[in-house]
Amino acid sequence: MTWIIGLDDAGADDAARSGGKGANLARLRAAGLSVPPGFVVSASAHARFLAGMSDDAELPTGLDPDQLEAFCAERRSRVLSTAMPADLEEAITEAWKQLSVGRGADFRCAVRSSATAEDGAEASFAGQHATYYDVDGSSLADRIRACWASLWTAQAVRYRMTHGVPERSLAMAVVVQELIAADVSGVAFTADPVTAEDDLVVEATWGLGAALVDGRVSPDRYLVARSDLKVLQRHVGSKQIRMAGDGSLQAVSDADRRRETLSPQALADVCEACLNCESAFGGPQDVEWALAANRLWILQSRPVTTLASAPSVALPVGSFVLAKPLAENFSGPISPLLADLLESAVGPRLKVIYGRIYAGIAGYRALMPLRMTDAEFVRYVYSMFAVLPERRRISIPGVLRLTAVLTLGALLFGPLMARTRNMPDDFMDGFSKRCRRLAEDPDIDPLTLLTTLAMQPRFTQRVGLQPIAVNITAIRAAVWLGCVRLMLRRWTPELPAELSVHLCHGSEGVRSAEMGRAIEVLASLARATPPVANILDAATTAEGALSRLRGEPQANAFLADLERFLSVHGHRALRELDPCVPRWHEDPLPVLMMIRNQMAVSAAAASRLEHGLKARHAAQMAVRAALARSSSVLAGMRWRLIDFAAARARYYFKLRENSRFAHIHIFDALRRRLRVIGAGLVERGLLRQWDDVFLLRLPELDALEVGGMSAADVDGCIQARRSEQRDWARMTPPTTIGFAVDLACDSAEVASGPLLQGLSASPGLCRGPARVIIDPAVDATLLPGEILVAPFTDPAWTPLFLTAGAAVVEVGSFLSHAGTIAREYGMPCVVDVQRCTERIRSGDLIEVDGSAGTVRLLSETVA
Amino acid sequence: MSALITVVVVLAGSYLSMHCVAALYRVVDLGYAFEREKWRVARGLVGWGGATLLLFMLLPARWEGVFAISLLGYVLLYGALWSVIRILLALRWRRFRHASSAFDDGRHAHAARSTDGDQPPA
Repeated sequence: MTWIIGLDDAGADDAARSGGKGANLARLRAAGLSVPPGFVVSASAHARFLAGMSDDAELPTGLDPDQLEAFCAERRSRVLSTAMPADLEEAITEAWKQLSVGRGADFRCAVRSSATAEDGAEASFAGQHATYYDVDGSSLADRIRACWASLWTAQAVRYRMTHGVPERSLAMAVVVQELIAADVSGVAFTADPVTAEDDLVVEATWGLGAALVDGRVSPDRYLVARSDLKVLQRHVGSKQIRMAGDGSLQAVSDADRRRETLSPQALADVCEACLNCESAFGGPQDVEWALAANRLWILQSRPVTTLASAPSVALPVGSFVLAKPLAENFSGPISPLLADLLESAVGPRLKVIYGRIYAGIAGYRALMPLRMTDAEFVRYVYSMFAVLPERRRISIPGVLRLTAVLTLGALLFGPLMARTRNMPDDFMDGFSKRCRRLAEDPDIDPLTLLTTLAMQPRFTQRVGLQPIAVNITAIRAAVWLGCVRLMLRRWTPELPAELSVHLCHGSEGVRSAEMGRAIEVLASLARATPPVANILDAATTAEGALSRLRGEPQANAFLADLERFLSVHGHRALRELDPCVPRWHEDPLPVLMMIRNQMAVSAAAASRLEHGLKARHAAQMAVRAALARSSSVLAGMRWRLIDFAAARARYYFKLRENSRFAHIHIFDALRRRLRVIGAGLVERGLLRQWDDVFLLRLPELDALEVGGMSAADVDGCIQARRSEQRDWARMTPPTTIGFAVDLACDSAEVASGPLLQGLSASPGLCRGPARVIIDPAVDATLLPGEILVAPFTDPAWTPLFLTAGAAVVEVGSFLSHAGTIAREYGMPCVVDVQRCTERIRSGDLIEVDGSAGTVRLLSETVA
Repeated sequence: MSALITVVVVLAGSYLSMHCVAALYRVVDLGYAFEREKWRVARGLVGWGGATLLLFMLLPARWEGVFAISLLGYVLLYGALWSVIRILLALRWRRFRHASSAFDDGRHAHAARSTDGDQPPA
């Protein structure tokens, strides 16, 4: 039996002996690629070790999750407590000595699990088994045993069950390699794992790649054409932390966060090396690489196993549809903790699947007064209640249920509706204090915090402290808008329908719109103070910029204004319903970027609010003139009715946006509380970083807090979930689950041609160059007249609306933030334009018809 | 006809009761700026209270009982609905908490059996 196999030895490429990872590394070295030297502790060595263990019981079938967890804990414990056979330990020590010859006294290696079923074409086992860095000779045997033990984590066992990997044939080799102290490292796919197209996807970060593989950092991301290695897309990630050679996590310096990790030449080298890996294996590869002292190393290569296929999850029974109104708040999958909080707070109607929020439709469909299938119901809702089933049959139970629900709703919400009429603009201002007070309560748990603030008002609680309820009652805006439309259609049919939208918008006091104005004021101040402008121009991190501003005497007025801005708007963030995302009061860099963006714009171009008001006044004049022309004796009364309904609509649209402004404090409070809990767990050595709490399930968090779980219990889960989140982020979630629905547009022109169909959110026509912005914190430059094309928008995007000629958004609805703000600013906006950020590229000339809800590609930029 | 008038009186009573409740709530809702908003609060109380009283006085005697019952009935119904919903929500979250603590107990048992170190793998 050969227990130790050098990576260059004959037969090292046999997966049955070296494990999947070891065999692949041996093949790469044989193909002449630069792979760190090392050896493999073979599968036979593992078998030798197991032979010395007593009671090696087989995995029983039919275990429930708790029993499986208990079985695995028992098995791991026995592996870790069984001594390494002396002859085997001697062989390992000898191999280590040979490897370390000439490499100095502080030679360290990486120890990586290499199961025999690993890194195959069907199952990669990515993130399932342990890897250790910075291992010296004294701890090598322990780390090898720990790798063997990692075969017996519950998630690894479940993974094997899911992928049909037989337990009996499983063995674990371990790769021991020289540790490369990487300056930059990353992963590369030689085929896009999402689209299955053959462009290369490269992700890179500072330091060791484990931080990237774990999903701890937002890396730089490149999409590179296979044919000529031309960069098709480039996204510079924030890379807040790096993993040092000893496995510790360090903050990345201010200057390095926004700096690209790879030079063009280094990127080309990585791509070429990855294509060589692909040639060596004859198929698309998922390659881990590292750059150290300008030398490129290949650390791992395995087949891409996720090409254009959805990661497998257990789907719930029933019919579910992607909840679009909520989806606009999350650009990616939501964390397991938030999923648990939302599911338990809202109830069984809401499910988080693939990290996305789905709504169960059975209950809602039952309220329809017409008989509908699931598909017909979804088509009806997705078309904003425009597309009814072809065959319309009354559903008597539906009518009865709807009547009962409406009656009950009116009885329950009646006083609330009356209480929210004609309230002053500041009536919800006290909510932020309440949120802060509860977040500071050391005894409150996250679920209680969420339900107390969001869903469980006291009987005598003032309405200003119930922003979610206010938000629900403000849906009346749509009813009043409908009334205005109806009256205009009947009494002034010659006027364009879009006038109703102008009449119902252009209010003072919309917080999100005023935020834009505040940014404008800060930008004017910065523009008038050159030292401030220079600091902002050079800003790469908030800390750096703020510390320079504090050292600049002329910046005092600007800093005071910024402080005031953050005291009002600091609870906001990009993707602000996601508590994982840092708020502006924690990291004001996005605010500084928005100010910088605004500085480039002339003051005259940035008067959007006035533009919205002017559009409303013009619409009012047009309607009054049309009514006067009708010579009806009722013209005066008709105008008063229209004006009243429009004023109501304006008020409720404002209420909806302002209540949202208030209820975002809940998620800020949740983050504050979780930060305290997470920091406590880090202090007790149970978590590595406080924000790992977001990757826990709610019961796990509770158990960790009371000492019912240990770090070892959750660490594997955290790693596996990071990997899962990464997979989910790459996939496009299905619109429906449990049934199929065809929501494709009918027109061939729309399907593939220059016309993109969406929903009208704000009327008007605008033609101009497109500017695709994925993350305004990174790329916030939008020139006046450019058309903003975005994956989603939340209030944090508002300042971009100040300079945009129009907005095109991938998700959203008439009542979503993008539409509301665009209407306030009187600019065209089309929402729900599927894949617009992929089909439109920055620089393309496009025409946005906000009234028809279409976007036309007039000319494309030459790539 | 009598049934129709009864329905109208009940609806009017409930509607006015709803607004009276809301007007009373305004004392709480606008209490944070009472000095500034006292007239708005007073307007609501006087307006809706007055309208209710006026209608009560104008109604023929035979409908007064129905009107009074619908006024009071709505207040009781509102309180009952509110309480029931709060109880249902609290029960649901309690069930979740129970499931959560069952999970904890299971974990405790496993942790006691496990001799794993606390050091997470790198």
